Amino acid sequence: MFEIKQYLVSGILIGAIWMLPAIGISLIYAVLRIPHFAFAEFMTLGAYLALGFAAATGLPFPAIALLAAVSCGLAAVIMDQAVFRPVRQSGVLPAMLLSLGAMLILQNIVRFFWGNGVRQYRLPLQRPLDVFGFNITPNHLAIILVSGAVVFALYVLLKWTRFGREVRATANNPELARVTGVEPERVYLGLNGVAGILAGLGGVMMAVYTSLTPLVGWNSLLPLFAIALLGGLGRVGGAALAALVIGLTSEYSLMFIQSSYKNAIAFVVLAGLLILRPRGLVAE
Amino acid sequence: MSSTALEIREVRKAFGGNKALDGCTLTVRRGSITGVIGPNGAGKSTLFNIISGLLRPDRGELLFEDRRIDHLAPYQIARLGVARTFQTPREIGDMTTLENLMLVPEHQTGERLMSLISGWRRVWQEEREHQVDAVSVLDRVEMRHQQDMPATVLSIGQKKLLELARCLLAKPKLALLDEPTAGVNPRLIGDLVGVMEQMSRDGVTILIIEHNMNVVMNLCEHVIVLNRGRVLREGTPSEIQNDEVVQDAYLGAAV
Amino acid sequence: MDQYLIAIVTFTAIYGMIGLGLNLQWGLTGLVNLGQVAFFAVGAYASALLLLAGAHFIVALAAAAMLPAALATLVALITPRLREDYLAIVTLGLAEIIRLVFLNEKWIAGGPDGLTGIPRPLLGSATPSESAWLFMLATLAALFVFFMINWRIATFPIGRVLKAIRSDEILATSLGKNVLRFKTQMLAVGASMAGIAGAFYASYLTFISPAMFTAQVSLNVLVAVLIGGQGNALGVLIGTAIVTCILEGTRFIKDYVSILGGVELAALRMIIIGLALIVIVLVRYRKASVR
Repeated sequence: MFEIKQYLVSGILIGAIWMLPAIGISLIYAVLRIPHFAFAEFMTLGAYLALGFAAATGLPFPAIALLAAVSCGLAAVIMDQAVFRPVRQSGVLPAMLLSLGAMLILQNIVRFFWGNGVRQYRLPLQRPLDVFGFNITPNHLAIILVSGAVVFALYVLLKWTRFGREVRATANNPELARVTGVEPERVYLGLNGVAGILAGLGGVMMAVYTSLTPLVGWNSLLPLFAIALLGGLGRVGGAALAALVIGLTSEYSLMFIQSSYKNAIAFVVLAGLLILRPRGLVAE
Repeated sequence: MSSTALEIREVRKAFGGNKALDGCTLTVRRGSITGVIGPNGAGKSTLFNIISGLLRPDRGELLFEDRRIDHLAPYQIARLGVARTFQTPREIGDMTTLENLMLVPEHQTGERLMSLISGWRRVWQEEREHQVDAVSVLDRVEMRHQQDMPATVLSIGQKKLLELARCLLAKPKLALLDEPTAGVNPRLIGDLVGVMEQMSRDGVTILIIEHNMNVVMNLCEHVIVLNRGRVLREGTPSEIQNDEVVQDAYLGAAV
Repeated sequence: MDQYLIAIVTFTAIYGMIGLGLNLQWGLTGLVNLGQVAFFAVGAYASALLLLAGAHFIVALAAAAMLPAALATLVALITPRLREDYLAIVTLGLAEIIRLVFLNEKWIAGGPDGLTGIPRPLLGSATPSESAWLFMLATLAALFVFFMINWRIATFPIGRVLKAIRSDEILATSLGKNVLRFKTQMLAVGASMAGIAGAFYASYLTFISPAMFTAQVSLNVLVAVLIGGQGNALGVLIGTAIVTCILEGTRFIKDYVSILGGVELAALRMIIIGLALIVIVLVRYRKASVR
């Protein structure tokens, strides 16, 4: 009984952590039409930048997290403009290969400066609170709340702001969007920034929940893509819901399988999605 | 043998909110040359894509020689004897003109994986035969000189000729020609019409989308006018030319 | 011949075999297989386990060829139309799952400790240096066979169809070619090649562990094939040689630049591969967009 309750908490927690990077990947997939593997590694970058900033400055942790996230957003924009923009018109393949290269470089820059060892943020130990009968530490609760708030903010951004409208228009029909005055490059730039920030935040959260290794991002790769595809590409609400589903499924699967296979669940979901929808999940 | 090559019944196809085909019904008689005309956006190319299997209709049926084809994959429809050209020419750029044509013959032994192990002599024998056929087709469209050029250096007109050449080589039962004369040197259009007439005499049923009214007048026995995804009018070229309703449709679309 | 050189040649030949497999899949047919290491691993483990159980090496080799092919066919079944982006995701995921299975299932594969004492077929009675030399020759012979297969496929009519599928699937299917069947076949044959390479790898090292079969291997092979140009079998061999030079060359830096430790060097190596990947892609595909 204890396990079932704890898995609910951990499932929601891991779902809340995956939610933000997954939404970033989902939006990029919908608008730029590529599975952008590198954004999983922006999680890694964000987590370690926070570590670096914490060591270098005395700022409170939330400020550091924000700083790390924004830095990732900036890095993503620079990467996009320098590396991806030149091949914008050349189709999916070159972009995917570039994303792989970026993924490799990001992960190994982190490895170069911080090594392979497991690291932790220097955060004060906390006692779990009792929230509606569930045990959860204040930091973990904060993760869930922050995640929820950001998702809400994204939803508002996409639905009510001009930028959001442009993003949706470009996702639906790029040529039509261009004709109605939307500048696609502006949309791509903004979207890369947003996705970078989301990934960086997700990375910091993941590092707070578990710990830091250079594989933080790589281990989340499959779940992130499973979430993005399950939730419907480009759908913020869908991705958020899918994240909770995948998070809970991964945690509850521990009742039946070894913990090392948690990511396999995401792959099974992914494969299942593809089998059940033989015409595919992404628009032609 | 029935007298209809192609039958289209109440086919509908929408993209988002846009109804490209909205209850399209028509029949194409075997051995005829039928023109399909209509203002832009009338659904002509969508119709061809559905017939050749690249798109699936939302509703309705298609029959080729009395056989349902609307659920078949494009390669299966092609193997039944349906060949098509594309409005924007498609060619494999890093292969030569001749190599592009050599793709056409069906059931090539050399396309089987097993051919790597045995039957080499047969593979090369077929290659020689197909090459002879391909070269003679190139002669008919006056592209012999471009035989060994990479397809990517061909002009638009030459690429369209290549499209037609592929159709010829396939010896299909039904040929779907999507604006075969657009972009072609006006001097050559007369020759092209001759080629298409010869195809018809050889027994090929031809369905042709054209904007060039001269070609339609000279070539087609029967004309179908599409507008807004449905058949507006059908008749002989002269009947259609003088039809007010058709003229209105073109004007209406132009506004 | 210098022992180190023999080792380098053997490793390069094995990597070349994996690359020639990827060349069939991606170079000729345009299939974006990012998980070639999965087939490599399955072949290695299958061969190792069978040899350790006392099976004849023909059986081991056959398994190393068949099992990856079966896995590839499975991938083809679940990936809609084997479309670029789907296939990329599925193959990347598959490779990771395979590694996890070999890492965790001690009863199949020895878990993180791997398998040791893998025999080299027919060479049991040879001296160590004879064995290394003969094994290298065998590997080179296999490489040559794979090279010929690649060359044959490229120059036969089937190569024409594959090129068409790679360039323009819609045209290929409109010409009556069963695109899905060709793609599935090529994915399977390429997987078999990687599997057989795995069998050679396992017997050469006489020891394998999951740590040897990471996604990095797929990426190294990808870079090798990219360097070689698409569909060019000889280019793949040259590319493999170049990648091997990069990987081995950076090992020597340690002797000269003592401030960098093992982990930093490994990271640097991967960064160089990543940069190579980016540079090659930009050089090759940037031209396409500048019209």
